[in-house]
Amino acid sequence: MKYIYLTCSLVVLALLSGQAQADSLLYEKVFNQFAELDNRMTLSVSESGEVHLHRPSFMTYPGDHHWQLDATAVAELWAALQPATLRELDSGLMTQALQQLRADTEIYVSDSDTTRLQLASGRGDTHELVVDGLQGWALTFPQQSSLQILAATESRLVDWVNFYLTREQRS
Amino acid sequence: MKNQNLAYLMAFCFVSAPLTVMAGAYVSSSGAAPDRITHPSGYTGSGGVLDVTVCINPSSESIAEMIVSVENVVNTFNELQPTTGNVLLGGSNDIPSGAIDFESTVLHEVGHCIGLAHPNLASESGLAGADRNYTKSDEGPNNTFDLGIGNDGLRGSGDDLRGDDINLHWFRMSNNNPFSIDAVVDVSTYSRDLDDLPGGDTYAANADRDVSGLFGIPTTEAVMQQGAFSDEDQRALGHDDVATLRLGMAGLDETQGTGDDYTLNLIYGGVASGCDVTITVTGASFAFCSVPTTTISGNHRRVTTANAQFGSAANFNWFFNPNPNQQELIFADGFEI
Repeated sequence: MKYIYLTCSLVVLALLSGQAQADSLLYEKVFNQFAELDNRMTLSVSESGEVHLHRPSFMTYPGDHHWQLDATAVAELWAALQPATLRELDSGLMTQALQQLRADTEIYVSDSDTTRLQLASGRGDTHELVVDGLQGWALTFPQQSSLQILAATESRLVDWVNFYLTREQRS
Repeated sequence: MKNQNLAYLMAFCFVSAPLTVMAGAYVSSSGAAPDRITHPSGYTGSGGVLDVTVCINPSSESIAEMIVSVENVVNTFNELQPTTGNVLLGGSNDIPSGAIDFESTVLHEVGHCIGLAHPNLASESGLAGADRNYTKSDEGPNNTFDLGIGNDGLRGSGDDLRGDDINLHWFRMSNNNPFSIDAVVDVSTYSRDLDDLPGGDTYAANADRDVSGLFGIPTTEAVMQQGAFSDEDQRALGHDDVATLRLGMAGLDETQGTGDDYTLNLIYGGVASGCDVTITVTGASFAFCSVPTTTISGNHRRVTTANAQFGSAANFNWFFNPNPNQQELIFADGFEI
């Protein structure tokens, strides 16, 4: 009973948080410090819950992975990601704010990875966020709420991926 | 709710340019301030031994696994020994295939944490692929990197044609060879001004592994060069790394042998907070160091406190070197040195 209630709550939360406008996602993380051709982790989740993942050779669980989410798992994912909040973020404004902060504080963050998160709705409109050095700048400027939201989202997404990869390895 | 989100989408949705970070052979140099030299935390202009504590964050993951690597990095910087042949790949090292050497990565990032930047243009230039191997510079007045490869066909070598790009890389005036080092390292022997290049050279060469072949010193690269590979051991400093640190150690007057010179002494402070450099393993980013700086005087800045972060072992296939690089010598009386 408790599980049914939790599932229903998550589905309702997902709908309220804008799942209808974010039916699929594409997440990429480019590890710029690597000179290897394959230095990019990519994750896509389709509207139907089809998941494709690529992890470069230097990551754990390297290679290509594919799995299918059921409706509950899709709803849980969107509930965790809160796409409505993400759609309010603007990486152009975040970048401008960061450049100003860097100019004011003379802080350098080395070896920035590039994070790209793209949300697409069933209507075909997309919202894309691209930030270099997301985790480094989030650590450096904890008062920047946009950075914190996006960095936390990325962390949740990577943890979510690892949960499935661990389960895949066990089975 | 949907309409509100749609409005946000229409108002805010666009593709942004990646954030670029400009820096030189020292992290605080730029086109506007090309001569800036960045010193490690604690340097105020007084000579002597400069202690810099390096600690592992108590909340870090993989603490037990990383201790030897962190201690080794501390020793490597303290020895300040320039080496050649410091790129060991595949069967030449003890790293399993597909793994990344944690110690080599820490050596690179701690270099940033004490003020060193990439000698090459690297990813912060916004350039892609091999063009990142050109020597560190600012774009100059035309606001674009000029990337002429020169007759030798190697990016980052002394015959590159770089237009109005402002050189940010300090080079040895006598030979523009970043795989060598002068007995004296200060502004009498090293320069950033291209007018001081030896005859025939057009730009400062950087210590890229491909450029090393030109000088007959293969499999050698500055640790601070960006561009790593898996199954790669780069645990020893190159000449360019040592020269850049020693130029800083010549102090505010940039002259070796004067009263403001310092000796860099990294101290492993264990698993603790409040150190000059803090190392943490967590999360999904590969590796970075956040390096705040402050002005000492003129072109000289120092790092305040730096935080280096390395991705979680749940995400990255780290190899943690278990072998200390410095043997403890214990005498018969039981005392160590």
